[in-house]
Amino acid sequence: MSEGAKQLESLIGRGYAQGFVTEIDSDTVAPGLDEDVVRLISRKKREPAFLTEWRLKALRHWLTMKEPHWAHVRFPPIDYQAISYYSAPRSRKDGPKSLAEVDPKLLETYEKLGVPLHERARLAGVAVDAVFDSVSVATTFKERLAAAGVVFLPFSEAVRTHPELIEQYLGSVVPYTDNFFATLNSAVFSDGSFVYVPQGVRCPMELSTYFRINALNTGQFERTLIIADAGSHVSYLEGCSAPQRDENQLHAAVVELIALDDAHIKYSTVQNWYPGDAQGVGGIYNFVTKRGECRGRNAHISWTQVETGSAITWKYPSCVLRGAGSRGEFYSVATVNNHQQADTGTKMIHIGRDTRSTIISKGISAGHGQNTYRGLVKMLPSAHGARNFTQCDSLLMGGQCGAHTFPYVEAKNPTATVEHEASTSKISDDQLFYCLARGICAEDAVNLIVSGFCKSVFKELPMEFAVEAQKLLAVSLEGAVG
Amino acid sequence: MTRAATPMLAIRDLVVTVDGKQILNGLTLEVAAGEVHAIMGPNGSGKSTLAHVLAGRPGYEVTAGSVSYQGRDLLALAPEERARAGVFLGFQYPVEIPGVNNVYLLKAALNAVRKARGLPEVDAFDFLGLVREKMQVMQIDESFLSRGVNEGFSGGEKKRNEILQMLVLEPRLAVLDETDSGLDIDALKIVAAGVNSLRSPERSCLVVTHYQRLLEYVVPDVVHVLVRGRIARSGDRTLAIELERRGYDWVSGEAA
Amino acid sequence: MASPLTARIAEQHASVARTLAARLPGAARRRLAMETLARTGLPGSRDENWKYANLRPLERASFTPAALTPPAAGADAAVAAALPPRLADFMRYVFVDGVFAPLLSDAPGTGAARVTSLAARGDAADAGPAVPAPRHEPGADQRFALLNEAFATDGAAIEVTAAPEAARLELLFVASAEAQLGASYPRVELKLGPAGRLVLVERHLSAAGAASFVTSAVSAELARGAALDHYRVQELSSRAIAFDTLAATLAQEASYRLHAVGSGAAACRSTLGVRLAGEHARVALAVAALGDRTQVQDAYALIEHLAPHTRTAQTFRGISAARARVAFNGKIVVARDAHGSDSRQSLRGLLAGPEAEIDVRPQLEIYTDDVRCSHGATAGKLDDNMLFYLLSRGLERDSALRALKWAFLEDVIATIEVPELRRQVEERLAGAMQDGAALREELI
Repeated sequence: MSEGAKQLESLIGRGYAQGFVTEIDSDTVAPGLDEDVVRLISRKKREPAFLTEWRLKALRHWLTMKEPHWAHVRFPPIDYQAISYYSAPRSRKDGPKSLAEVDPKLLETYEKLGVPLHERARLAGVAVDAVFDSVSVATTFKERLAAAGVVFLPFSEAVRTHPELIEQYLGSVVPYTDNFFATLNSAVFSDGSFVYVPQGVRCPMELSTYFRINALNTGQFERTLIIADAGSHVSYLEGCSAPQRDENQLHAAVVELIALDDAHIKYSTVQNWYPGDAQGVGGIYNFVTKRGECRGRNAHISWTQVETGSAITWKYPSCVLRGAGSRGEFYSVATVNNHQQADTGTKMIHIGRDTRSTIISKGISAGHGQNTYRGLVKMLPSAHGARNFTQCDSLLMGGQCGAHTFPYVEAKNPTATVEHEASTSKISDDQLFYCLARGICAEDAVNLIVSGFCKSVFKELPMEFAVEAQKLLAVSLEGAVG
Repeated sequence: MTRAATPMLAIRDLVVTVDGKQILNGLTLEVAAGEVHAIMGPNGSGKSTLAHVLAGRPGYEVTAGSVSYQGRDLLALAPEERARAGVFLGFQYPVEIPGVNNVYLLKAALNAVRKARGLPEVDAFDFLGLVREKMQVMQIDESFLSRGVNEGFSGGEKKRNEILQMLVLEPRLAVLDETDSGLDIDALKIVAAGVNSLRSPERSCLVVTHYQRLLEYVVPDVVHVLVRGRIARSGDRTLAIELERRGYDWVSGEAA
Repeated sequence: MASPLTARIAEQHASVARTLAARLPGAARRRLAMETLARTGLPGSRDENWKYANLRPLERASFTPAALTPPAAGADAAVAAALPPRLADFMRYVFVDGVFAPLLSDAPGTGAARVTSLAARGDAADAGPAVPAPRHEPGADQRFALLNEAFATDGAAIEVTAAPEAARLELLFVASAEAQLGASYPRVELKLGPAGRLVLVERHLSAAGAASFVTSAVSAELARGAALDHYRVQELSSRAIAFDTLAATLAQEASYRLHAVGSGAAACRSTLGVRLAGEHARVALAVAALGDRTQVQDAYALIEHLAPHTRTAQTFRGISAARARVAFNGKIVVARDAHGSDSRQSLRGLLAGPEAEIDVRPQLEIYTDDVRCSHGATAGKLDDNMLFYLLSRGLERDSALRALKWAFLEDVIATIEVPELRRQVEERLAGAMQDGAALREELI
C-alpha cells in the first residue's frame, strides 16, 4: 500500500468526529409503544388535553399502517417495540431557567460539537436551541428575540406558553395521518423547536437547533413548527449528530413550515448523523418528513440541505404552493459513501396561480453508497402560469456505487411549464488531469471538483454553515478515490 | 424635406413597464415616411423595449401615451396584425424554431402580408424565385431553405436571416433591434446592403444600435439618444460620431 | 390471493382451454402462463408503474379470444376497408382479431425473412415450444404478455437471416370484435439471426370503428450484429382499449430502432422492455403520442444496459388536448458491468387543452461510475418566444400554433424512413390535430 493510500486509510478511520458518547444519567422510558407510553410522554411534558388526544389518535392510526418500502433503500425490519420513545438527561426536575442550571457535561458536549451555548460565544448572530435525545436542554438569546417579538422556544415549552398557536397550526401541513413515520412521530414526538415570527418582523438573527442523539436504543422524534406571519422573515438552521454505535437508531422527525402573505422562511439543514462504519454497521435511520406551505400570497419557502450522514436518509422537504405568486425552492447536496443509502428529493405542489419553484439537486455517490433523487412536480388545474425548473446532477466515484434519478412530472394546467434536466457522470478525467497538471494532489483535486459541483447549493447556505458543510463533505468522501 | 401629412410613426409620451419596472418614461418620437432614424443609447436605456413594444410583444405594458402608425392606433393591433400592416421587427436574438422550416415560415408570412394588402397568394414557383434572389443579396446558402427556422444558425446567420425575411416581406416600417451586434465587418456590410436596398420614399426604418459602426453603412437621417427611457438628445449623423468620441456619459450626465 | 378480475380471467381461460387446444398446440405453455398470471394478477392503478394507465375498461372486457366466436355478417368487408394502401417493397401479412388472414396476405416468404403463422406452425409435428417459458421480472412487467400468451390463438413467427438487403415486412392487426364478446391477442415472435436485417411495420387498426379489447405481445431476439428497424403505429378506433407488451433482447453490436406513433384507442398502454445484453448493442426509441377527448395514452419503457459500451437514445413527444391524459415513463438501468454506457433521454409533453394532463417520468438507475447519462423532461405549453416570432411575421395565431405543434412532433416523425409510411402517419396525425390536413399540405 502506498504512503498516500495509508494516509487515506487513516483518514477514513478517523472519519466521524462526532461519534463520542456523553456519560450522563438519563431518565429513559422502557422500550415499547402503546397508549400508556404515549400518555406518559404527554404527562411528563404536562401537555394540554388536546395534544394528548391528538397523539393518541395518531397512535391508533399508526397501528393500522404498514412500514413503507417503495423508496430505493434496503433495511432489515425495525422492531418498533424495542425502541425507547423517551429519554431525557436526569439533571433537573424542570427545564433549566438559565444556562447556569444546565448540566456542565451537556455544555461540554455541545462545545465539543462546535455548538457553543454560551451567549457570549463567537457565533453572536445565531440563536441556538439544543436538543439532547428527547428534550431541549438550552435555548440561547431568548431575551433578545423576545424583544423583537419572535418566539423561539423548545416545543415542549411552547405547548404551555402558546397553546393556541400550536393547536391552530400543528398538523396543518403534515397531518397525523400523513405517512408511517410522520404518524409515529405525531404519537411520540418528544421535543423540538417552535418559532413564531409576528407580522412584519424580520427576525434579527439566524435561529438554529442542534439535535443530538446520545442514549442507546432510543429513537429521536423531534417536531419543529415554524410560523412566519404576514410580511415576516426568518432563517433557520438545523444541525445534528450522534455517537458512533453498532446498532441502528431511528430518527423520525417532522418539520412543518407555514408562510403567510409575503412571508419568507429559509430552512437550512446540515445533516451529519452517524453514518455507520465502512462495513455498513450501525448508523442512524433518518426517516424525516419536512413540508412547508406557502399559505399566503407571494409567500416564499426555501429548503437547503446538505446530507452527509446517516446510514439511510429518507426525506423529501416539500412545498405546497397555495398562495398566488408564492415560491418554493429546494437546494440539496446529498453524499453517500461506504454503505450509506439516501433516497431524498422534494415535492413541489403548485396550487396557486403564478407560483414558482426551483429544484437544484446534487448527488454524490462513492464506495458502495446508493443515492437516489426522487422528486415530484405537480401542476394542479388551478396553477395558471406556474413554473418549475429542476436541475438534478449526479456524480459517481468508483464502480460499486449507485446514482438514481426518479423525477415525476405531473402537469394539469396548460399555462404551466415544467422543465427538468438531469445528468449523471463520473468525475471528468480531463478535469482531474488538469488539476494534477497544475500540481494539485488527487485528493484535493477531487475536493475541488466536488465543491465546484455543489457550489450552486452551498451558496444558498448561511456563511458559517457553508464552511462547515464544505468540511463535512470532504470528510464524508475521504477514501472515495485513491 | 417635405413632410407627409401623416407621419409613418408617431410616438407620444409613451410609458412602458416590464415586470412592474418602468422602462420607458414618456418617450416621444416621430418618423416621417422615407426616413431612417437611429436610436442609440447605453445598455438598459430602453432601446430594445421600444422595439418590442412596437411589435406588440406580450409582457410589455403600456401604461400611458400613444403610438400611431400611418395614422392608425398601433397599440390596438395584435402582433400579427401589425406585421400584416407592414411593421417588421428584426430581432436582436431571433429564436430557434426546430421543426418549422424556413421556407414554410417565409411563404406563410408573405401570403399573410399579401392577403392583408388584397393581393393573391404567391405562386410557388415565383415564390422560390423571389426567395433565391433575396438570398443572393444576403449571401445565404441554398441549404438554408430546408433547415428549421434559425436552427443551429450562427449569430451572423440569424441576423442575415432576419434581413432576408425583411426583404421578402417588404415592410413599410422596419424596426431593427441591434441587428449589428455580433456581426463581423463582412456580415455587417451584407446586412447594411440588405437594409439599404429597401430604402425608398414609402418606407421608414428605425435602427436600434449601441455603436455607430452600422451607421457608417446605413446612414440615418436623424439620430436619437435614449437615456433612462426618454429621448435625451436628437441630431443628425454627426451626433452618432460625437457620441462615439465622447461616450454615453456625456449625454447621460446632461440628461440627469 | 386472486382478485375478482384475475379469478374471472382464470374462469374464462378454463372454459375455452379445450377449444384452444383443438386449434393450437402448446396447451401446457398457455396453462403455465395462466397459472403465473393467476399468481401475479394483472396490474392495478396502485402499482407505481401503472398509476397513469386507465385500467378500468378491464372490468367490462371479455377475455375469451374473439377468434373463437363466429364473425358478424359483413365483417370481411369491414376488415378489407380498414386496410391502408400498400407500402412498396413490403410483404404484407394481415391478422384479424389476432388470427392470420391468408386471403388478405402475401404468401409466406421464402427469402431472408421466414414468416410463419403460429397456428400453422403448430400443425407441423414437433415444432417445440414457440417461446421460452413466461418470464416475470420485477423490472420488465410481463403481466399483459402473460395474458396474451394464455389466450393467443395465432400470431406471426418471423425468422430473419443475413442478406444483402434488409427484409421488409408489414404486419397489420385489425381488431373487429366488440370487447364484450371477445378480445384480440396479436402476437409476434421475432428472431433475427447474426447480421440479420429487418424493417418491420407493425400496425394496429380497427374495422368499422369497433370497440375492441386488444392485448398484443411482441418478442424480439436480435443476435450479434442484427439490425431491426421497427415501426409501430397504433391507430385503433377511438372506442378500443389496447394493452401491448414488447420485450426485446439485443446481443453484441445489435441495433434496434423503434419508432412508435400512437393516436388511436380510448385507452392505450404500452409496456416496452429492451435488454442490451451484448457489448456495443444500441437502441433508439422514438415515441409520439397524441391524446384528444378523454383518451389515455400511457407508455412505460424500461431499457436495461447489461453489457459494456451499450447505448440508448430515447425521445418522447406527447400532445394532450381536451381532457386527455398522455403519460410516458422511461426508465434506464445501467448495471454494474455496463461500463462505458451512454444514454440520453428527451421527454417532452405539450398541454394543448384546458383540462389535459401530461405526466412524464425520466428515470435513471445507475450502478457503475463509467457512464454518461442525461435526461431532460418538460411539460407545458408552446414556447411563447417562438409563438411571438411567428406572429410578428404575420402568421394567424391558429396556423402559428399548429405549425409549432407539428414541429414539436417532428423529432419523432422525422425518424420514419419509409416515405409512404411517413406520409400515411402524417395524414393520420394531421387529421387527429384539429384542422390539420390543410396544414400538412402547407408544410410538406
